[in-house]
Amino acid sequence: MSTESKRPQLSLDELRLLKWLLGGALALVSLWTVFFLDVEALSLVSLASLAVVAVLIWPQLPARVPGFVRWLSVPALIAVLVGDFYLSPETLPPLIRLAILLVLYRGVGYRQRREDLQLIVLGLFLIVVAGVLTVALGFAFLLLLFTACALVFLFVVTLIETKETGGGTADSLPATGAPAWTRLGWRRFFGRLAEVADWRLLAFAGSLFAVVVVLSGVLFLIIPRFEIATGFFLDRYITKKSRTGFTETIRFGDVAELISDETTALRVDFSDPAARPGNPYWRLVVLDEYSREGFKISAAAKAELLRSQRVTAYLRGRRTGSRAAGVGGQWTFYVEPGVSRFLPLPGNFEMLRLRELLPLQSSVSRLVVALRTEPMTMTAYRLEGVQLAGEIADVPPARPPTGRAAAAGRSETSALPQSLQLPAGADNREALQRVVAEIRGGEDGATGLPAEEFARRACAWLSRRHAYALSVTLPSGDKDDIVRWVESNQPGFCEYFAAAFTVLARAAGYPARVVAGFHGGTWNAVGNYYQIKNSDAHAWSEIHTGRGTWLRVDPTPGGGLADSRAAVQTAMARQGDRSWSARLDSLRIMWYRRVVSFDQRTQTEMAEQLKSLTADSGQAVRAFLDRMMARLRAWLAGPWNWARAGRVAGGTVLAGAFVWLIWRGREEIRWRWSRLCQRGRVDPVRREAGRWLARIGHRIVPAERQAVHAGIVTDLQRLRYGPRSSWPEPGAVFRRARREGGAGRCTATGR
Amino acid sequence: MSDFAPAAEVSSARAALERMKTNMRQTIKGKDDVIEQTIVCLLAGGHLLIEDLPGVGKTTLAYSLARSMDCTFSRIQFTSDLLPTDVTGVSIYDEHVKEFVFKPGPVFANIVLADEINRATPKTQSALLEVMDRSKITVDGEAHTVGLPFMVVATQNPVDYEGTFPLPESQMDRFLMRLPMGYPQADDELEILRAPRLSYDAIALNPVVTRSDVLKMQALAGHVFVEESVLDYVLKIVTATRTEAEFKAGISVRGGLSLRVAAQARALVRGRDFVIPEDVQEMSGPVLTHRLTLARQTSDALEERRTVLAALRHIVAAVPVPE
Repeated sequence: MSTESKRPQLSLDELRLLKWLLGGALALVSLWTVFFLDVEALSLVSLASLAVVAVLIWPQLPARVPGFVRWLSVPALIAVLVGDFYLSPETLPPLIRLAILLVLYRGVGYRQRREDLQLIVLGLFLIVVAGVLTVALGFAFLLLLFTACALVFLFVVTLIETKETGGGTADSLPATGAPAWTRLGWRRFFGRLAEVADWRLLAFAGSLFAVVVVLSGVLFLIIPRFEIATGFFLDRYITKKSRTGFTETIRFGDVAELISDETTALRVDFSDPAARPGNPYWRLVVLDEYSREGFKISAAAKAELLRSQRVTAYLRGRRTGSRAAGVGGQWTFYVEPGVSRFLPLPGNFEMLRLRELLPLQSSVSRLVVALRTEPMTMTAYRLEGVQLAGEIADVPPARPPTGRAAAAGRSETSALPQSLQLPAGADNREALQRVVAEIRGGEDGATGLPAEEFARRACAWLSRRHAYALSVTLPSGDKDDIVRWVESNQPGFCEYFAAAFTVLARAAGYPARVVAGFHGGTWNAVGNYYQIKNSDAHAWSEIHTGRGTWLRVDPTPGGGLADSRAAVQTAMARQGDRSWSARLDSLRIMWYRRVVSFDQRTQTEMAEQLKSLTADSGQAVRAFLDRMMARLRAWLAGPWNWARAGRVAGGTVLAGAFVWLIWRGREEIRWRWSRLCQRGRVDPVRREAGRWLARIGHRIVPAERQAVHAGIVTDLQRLRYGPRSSWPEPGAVFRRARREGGAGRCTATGR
Repeated sequence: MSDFAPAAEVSSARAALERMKTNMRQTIKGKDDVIEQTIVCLLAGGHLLIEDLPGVGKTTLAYSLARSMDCTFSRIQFTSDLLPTDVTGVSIYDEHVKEFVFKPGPVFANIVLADEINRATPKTQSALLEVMDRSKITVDGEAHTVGLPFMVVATQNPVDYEGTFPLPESQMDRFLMRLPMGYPQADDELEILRAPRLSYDAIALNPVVTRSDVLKMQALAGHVFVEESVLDYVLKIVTATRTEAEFKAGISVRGGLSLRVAAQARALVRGRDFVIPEDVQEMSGPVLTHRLTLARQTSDALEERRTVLAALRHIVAAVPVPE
């Protein structure tokens, strides 16, 4: 920069005054955040604010405070802190009061760089605490103010430092008397400030700050209001449409191929991990309508779902007969977005609880619960009184609202009618009947064979005939896809097996339906939860037993019939997953567990627990102290004799001797310790002395101070270069040097 | 901590040295730094080479030093026909005792002034230099110890080279310091002009320090504490001279040792029992310059002295002072 274009600049002292002003503002802003808190500290905050304002207006005030007050303030602070913690049942309010006192302590004294930074950190503490505990609009304003103040403050601190290293005198504090900059006067200072201010730059910086604030505000507003739980992981927004997983319809194309999608679809957390199911099937939806393309949700089921829709936060389930055994505890489901609008259910339940009010649909006859739309965020719900069973009750569908039901004129009693629907066309049926006959193995009549037995034989027949494969090529022909597949020897995957079994059962006269959902999952042994991936998507069948229940049949090789004994199987044969990916994934469930709450009550409980914990800790400390005091009193009150007095005296002498030895050898200890800590480096005392020598060693001092100055320099030189045995007490020397440095600065700048 | 100089002895030594300085100031006006450096040289147990034009007080300096200390003083005027025995002494056959008796030469004194040392032949010079090195003289296979303390103050004229035998480098190394005397300031010279006396014999100084005090202080100077980083500082200066292109050769190991010893002595003179880097800096000029020769030719000796000193100062300024 050329000299003519150089702007007038603030002098070092003016910068220091500016720093004083900003520091005061910072202290005030951080103090006022406490007004947002429900803490008994309002009078303290008011007093502290008054003090800060006072020293802001009269910067020379701190110098008039007697020296002993400054000496006493630190022990007084400690005493107040200890007393406050002792008397207060909770931990947080004393902490906040301590922070207020510290802000006050730092705010009303002259500060150097270190103290400035301390002030910022203390203010930040108050701001953060207030921000976490309360969210108020006024608080946001204070936060903005604090940020702006802190930024400029840090800038000024840096400027001062740059100037000081660039030839100015260091801002070391004088032992007595106010620093020179306090005598500048506000009116002159503001005049100078107006004179040197680069308004264009200021306007630019201000508008930049405003733009950032507005931008963040806009961002805050336009981001959809998902829960923080779902906003945390970004992959939530990656669309899952391209991946395979659960589907609501089963279609059989000419070529079908499944790609294994290893992303997580669902996590299930158990309040009682011991009661986890061994071989769980997670039902999502029942596909009972057959068309030429495949299976889909029947119109009746859709209508039932739509009819039942209501905005609610809970759903009462239905208990089935005595055969189903309930599993204790609560099951919490975390369904990833993009999986399905249907909620995975392991079986019947007593209560389904959502976190918030949502439009919920349910079909009791098919045991299907769905949201109105596919959620874009993580969905969490909780099941209580889960009944793990291979059989679910066949209950009539919910009644349509009165009036409409009469108008509709329907009298459905169960979901059975759709469950007998067969592929159209004689050739299809003939082919199916042929296969059914083969399965029955000669025994005639649909009634002759129980549904369970038929299912067992059909599964066996399918397994004999078809292998399992992820990629399927159908033979060509005129018949329906599924019939062609049944007749062929082609391998297939679960959907083929489920669909084939269902049509065969229907052809044999048993009502049957396809169920889509997930099967199995991995037990995450790190986080103790089930992790179900999209590749765990599965399809199976349910066959009506004729006794009012639907029996689960998994015709896919390796599946089989639901075993009533295995229905309550809770022990896992295989080991849980402890791999690194499982560890990584368990972080997410930990996060979910923290942030997902199902009702206000649990939240309050947690807060209460936390509060009682802190209160308990405070009370425990107090009780401990009281106990110790009582013991001491009892001990003192005990009878005195010579032996006891001797013991006490001996102990005192020993302790005194120990303290004395430590005190005598403190330099030696310190030296040894420093040698231990930093081998081969310069002794810290020597380094410190060298620093002071460099600062004040070559300073020209007025004649009347020369003797004192020379004495200090000699002592410093002795500390730096002299033999250790001849050292004076380093602390005292450094204190004198600090005072000397301050005095020198005063005489240098005070002229 | 007997390794270090005790504080009481240091302060008493300082007082004694102050007395010496004040005493010498009566005759050597306005040359406080030269006086101090002379005393430093004495405490370090070294020998001094004073280099300057005739008539600036070299002899007076040596004489007042000797007189201040209750020590014997002798002067040898070096000429080209001076023989080694004229310096050391000679064995003469004594008729009465019927054997050779050693007659000590002028070197048997505490302070020996070797005036115009470069005028003597190398043989005579080396006779003196042997004494300087060992504080002993061997004549006819018999060793004779010279006085203790023993200090040679040699002088030479750097300008007038006619008919001289310049001291070789190896012998220059025997001197701890080389000092230029310099002209006094005008005020001081006026003071000198006012003085009635002319010859140094007329100097009437009272001894203020005993011989044993000097020996004690010499021992004390050896115990002045040198901190590791200061030793490192000395080493760095010495090694820096060895890589400096301006010099033909760097400082020898003895040169580095001399610098340390001189710094210790200066610390004692300043009343400290430890060495600070300033001692090293101040002593580097007198102790090191005469051990360095320039790689290039210069017009005259004074020019060379100036160039060497400037290069050395540059080096000392460049080596960072221990923090």
